[in-house]
Amino acid sequence: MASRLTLRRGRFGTVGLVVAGFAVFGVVGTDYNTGLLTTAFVYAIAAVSLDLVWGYVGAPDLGHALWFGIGALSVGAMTTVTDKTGLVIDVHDSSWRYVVGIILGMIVSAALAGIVGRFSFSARGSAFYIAVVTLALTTVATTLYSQFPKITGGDNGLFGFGPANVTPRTWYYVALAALTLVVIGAVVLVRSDLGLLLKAVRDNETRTRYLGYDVERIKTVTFMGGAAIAAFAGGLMAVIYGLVSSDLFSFVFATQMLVWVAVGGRGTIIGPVIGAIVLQLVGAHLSAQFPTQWNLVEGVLFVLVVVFVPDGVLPFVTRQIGRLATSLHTRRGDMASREPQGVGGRRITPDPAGAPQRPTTSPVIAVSDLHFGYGSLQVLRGVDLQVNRGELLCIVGPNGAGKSTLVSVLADGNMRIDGEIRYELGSHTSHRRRPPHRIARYGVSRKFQSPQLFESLSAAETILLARLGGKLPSFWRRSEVVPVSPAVVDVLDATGLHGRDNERGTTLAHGLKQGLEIAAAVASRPQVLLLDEPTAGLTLNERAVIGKVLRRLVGNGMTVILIEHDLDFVNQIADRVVVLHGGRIIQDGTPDEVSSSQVVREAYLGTVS
Amino acid sequence: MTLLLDVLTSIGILTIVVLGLAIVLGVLDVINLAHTGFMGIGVYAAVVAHEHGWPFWLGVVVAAIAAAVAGLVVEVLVIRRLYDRPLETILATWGISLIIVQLITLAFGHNNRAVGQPLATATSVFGTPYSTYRLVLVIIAAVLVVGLALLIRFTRVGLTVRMIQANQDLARGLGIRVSFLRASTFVVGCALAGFAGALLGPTQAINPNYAVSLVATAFLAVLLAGRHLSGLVLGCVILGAVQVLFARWANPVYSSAVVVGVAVVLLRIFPEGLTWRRA
Amino acid sequence: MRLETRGVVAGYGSATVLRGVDLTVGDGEAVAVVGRNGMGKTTLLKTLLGYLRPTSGSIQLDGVDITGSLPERIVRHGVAYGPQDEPVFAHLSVEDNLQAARIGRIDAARREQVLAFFPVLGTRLRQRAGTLSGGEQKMLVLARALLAEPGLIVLDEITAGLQPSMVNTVVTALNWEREQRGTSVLLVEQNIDAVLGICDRVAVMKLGQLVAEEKATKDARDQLMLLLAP
Repeated sequence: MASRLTLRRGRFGTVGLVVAGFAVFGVVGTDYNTGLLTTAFVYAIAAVSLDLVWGYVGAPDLGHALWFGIGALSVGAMTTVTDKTGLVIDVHDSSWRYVVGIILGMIVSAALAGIVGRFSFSARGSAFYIAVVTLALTTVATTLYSQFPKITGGDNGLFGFGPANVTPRTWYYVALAALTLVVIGAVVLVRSDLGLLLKAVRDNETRTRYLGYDVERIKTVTFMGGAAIAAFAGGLMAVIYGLVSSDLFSFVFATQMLVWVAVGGRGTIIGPVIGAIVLQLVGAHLSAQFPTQWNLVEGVLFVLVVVFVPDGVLPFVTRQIGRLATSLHTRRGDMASREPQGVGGRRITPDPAGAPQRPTTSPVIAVSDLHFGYGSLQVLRGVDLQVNRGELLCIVGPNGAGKSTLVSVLADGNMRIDGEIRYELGSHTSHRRRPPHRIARYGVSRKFQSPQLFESLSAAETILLARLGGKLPSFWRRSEVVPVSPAVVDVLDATGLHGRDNERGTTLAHGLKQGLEIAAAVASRPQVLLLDEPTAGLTLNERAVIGKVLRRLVGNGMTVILIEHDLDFVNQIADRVVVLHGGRIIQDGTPDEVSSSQVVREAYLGTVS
Repeated sequence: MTLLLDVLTSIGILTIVVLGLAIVLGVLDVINLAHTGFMGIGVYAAVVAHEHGWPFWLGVVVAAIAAAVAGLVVEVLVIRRLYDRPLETILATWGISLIIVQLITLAFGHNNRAVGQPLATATSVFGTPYSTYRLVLVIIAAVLVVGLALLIRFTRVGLTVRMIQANQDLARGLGIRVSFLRASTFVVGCALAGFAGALLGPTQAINPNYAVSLVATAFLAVLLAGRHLSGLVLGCVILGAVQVLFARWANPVYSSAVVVGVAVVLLRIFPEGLTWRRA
Repeated sequence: MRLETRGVVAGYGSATVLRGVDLTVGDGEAVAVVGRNGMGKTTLLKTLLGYLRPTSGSIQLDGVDITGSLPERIVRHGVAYGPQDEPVFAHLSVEDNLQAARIGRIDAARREQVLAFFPVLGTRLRQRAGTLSGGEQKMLVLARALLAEPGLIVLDEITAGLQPSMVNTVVTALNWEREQRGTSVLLVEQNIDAVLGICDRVAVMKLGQLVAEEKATKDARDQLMLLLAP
């Protein structure tokens, strides 16, 4: 643990060392090599911007060059005067135009990316969609470029601008400084709590949504940010070289960016930087001698990396070093190192200050004459149900009665219903249908029937995100400690999750996943907790403990709606039981009333049609 | 009348191009960005056949075979390892298309080539003379679509394909030889690409960047298609019509932009494609 | 069909889940594997079916070594498998899901017999399987397994989330299949009563090993409950 911590602290030290090394190289290097590096630094900024979009929110932008090109074009257009055919006839020499050009390019890129993101990211759409749309935009952009020579210079492009009296060495340092700032900013961002949210979006959008986060907005904003940074890189490029052409928008350039990020290691920030710099240097040397062959090599390299080291070379190398270190440890008989490697390094700690809510008897959710169907299949056929604050309501009923559907409809306002669902959640009292993340934020937390966890998040990190409950996490702060209420600690202890803070949720066994899901749902401190078969796959003992935890939550004023099959369990914990059968409620009463009811028995035994 | 025929034939051409792409996407969940690369392989195979003095239609067959062989190689070397990682197939096929274009450039240079002009006559359609070859393309498209629809709906191969499409792990657990069928599907998709490449040869300039202009439209059509042939045809009809009509009434250069715009908006409204599907 | 494993070790990546499993299901025998969560029951089935490659040990079906074979090859020996997660083709119709058992070559008489156990499926043949409830999907899984006319049926938690009357249907249908065709059965189960209603033997799994074995008699119930307690 201690060594991992120092390693992480050391990363900024390493970055400092590398930057210092490059700074020295700026003094001793040849003009040719520093020139190449200047370009490489700018490209590396673009690579970082693509990594944020692709590596962190999982949107493969195949046309990222577009944003870079817009940045460059903006600078070019601001500083040149062209004739009708697009030939540059004069250059403005006021330096403010360069600054405005860069900023304008960033704004335009971000705005356009916002529109594209708004259209491309949809809860129901395919993950491929953004890839194809960005690809298509690239074709369109290159076609349109030649259509507006007045602005773009047409086929000749724009040239001859650029601030006078700045030496290439100065540009070298400007580019280095810009890259350093961008990298530091990006690293702080992705290590912050917000970075965690981005990874959650990449791993499982649906789950993130039900934690109260507006996934589409997060993706769109990240996409806009990535586009703006790419435009900044493009603008910088134009300022340094005084040259803009349609090549900067092209497939080829967009593909190169993908190669840098994929080869370097997406989702690592540093990897793409290394990828961009190394490949740019190697490429420059080789393509001078073998222009066609170099492109071929690049293509082959790209495919090889995608197939064999899908997370990129940097993570691969880091992993190999880690493995080597572990095997050295093991040889020394160090038993501790045989434990599964954790992620995240965040710790769950009890927070006794979880304030209890005041129990009342007012309704929290009132459902009246609710109908819902999938196509021609009617699942709910007129459900009337009032759920009171602070009660533990069990929904039971035979398979196919519509129990899960009822819970889904309560949690997801995007499902079209007939009838009315009225929420009385204090801050939110309305019968309007809202998307899942809004309902979650109002205080309705949902646990799915089968566990849905995040691939790259640890148990502690999952709970941290749940705890934030849809509030935007900090951009820079990194919570090392996740305070949780005693109820969450109970769930963790009961399901055997205690002390597994840093294990990845997806590698846990089924029962533990269920436990983590319940813990996350409780950690979001909801007013209403919707649990769809939380005890499926749990043993009797674990059930009993979960039952106790639920009782305690209800005692503190939380409302729990529970789908359950185990009638013994229901009788132990429920305040009230409703029986759903054939899409209608056929019985509503105390556990005793329901279990002694003839109607219910017949429904269960299948003698009621 | 000519306009109507133009619309019809460009829909037909788009359909032929998209069919292989749609099969590979629909069954394997792979967006084959190398599709135009395989079309390139096809058309250059036809070029070689033409330069050896072989008849055009034999060249088309050679093209399909050449693309199928290339597809098999690519499947075995690359795609096979990526079925569990659908998003990465986008990148891999993108890289492969890069490689194919470079290889073609190395082998054939940048100059334009030709595959000959088959059926270089005009046929009168309700009094309007129109290129026989382009009309034949429409017929070929229709035959392909109908044949495929019958295959998928009514045969055991069709059921197998639908099983793989729905859930590959489960299909394996029911005895489907998934890897063989996936390879076959990819090869068939590539063969169709080669076939399409050669068929379009007489209507396009043939150089290493062959068919690149069709990329965006073809991929958008496939996304619009969703998972059904009916959607595929509808997608091709809409995009093909928009392209031709806009190019005729306004500016051909903007029409590609308009096609993208239309497709993007449609996809926003029907995110799962134009096929009606229950939730 | 006889299934025999010797010293099977398997896991995910660096995590070893199965630590030497010796399990035999004799010809015509029904065996259940029970145990707490995370003990490796599902992993055992996935390994037997070829979804996971064992790192050591051997698996034999009727004396034929199938260690490391692909799932599609293993089931072609005559194994029907009902997994726990995503057990049906959600986007295909119920009819297609049934046909999938033998890819369109289903015996009509048998189909009638099997569907008689699950009348609800018969009324929903054209509906998409994904719109069935969890319990109805379990019925579909069982029906599909029976239609495959297997030598060995392997089911993962088939009664999880089922109401009591449907658990009875499962018990009846599997017992019918055993009587009719002498099919071997291997279950991973939580429901002790269902297990006792179907199986001859019960094996208890703990931390990736089979640690105890009981004849499935009424007397064994308390014993098993004791073993399952933490």
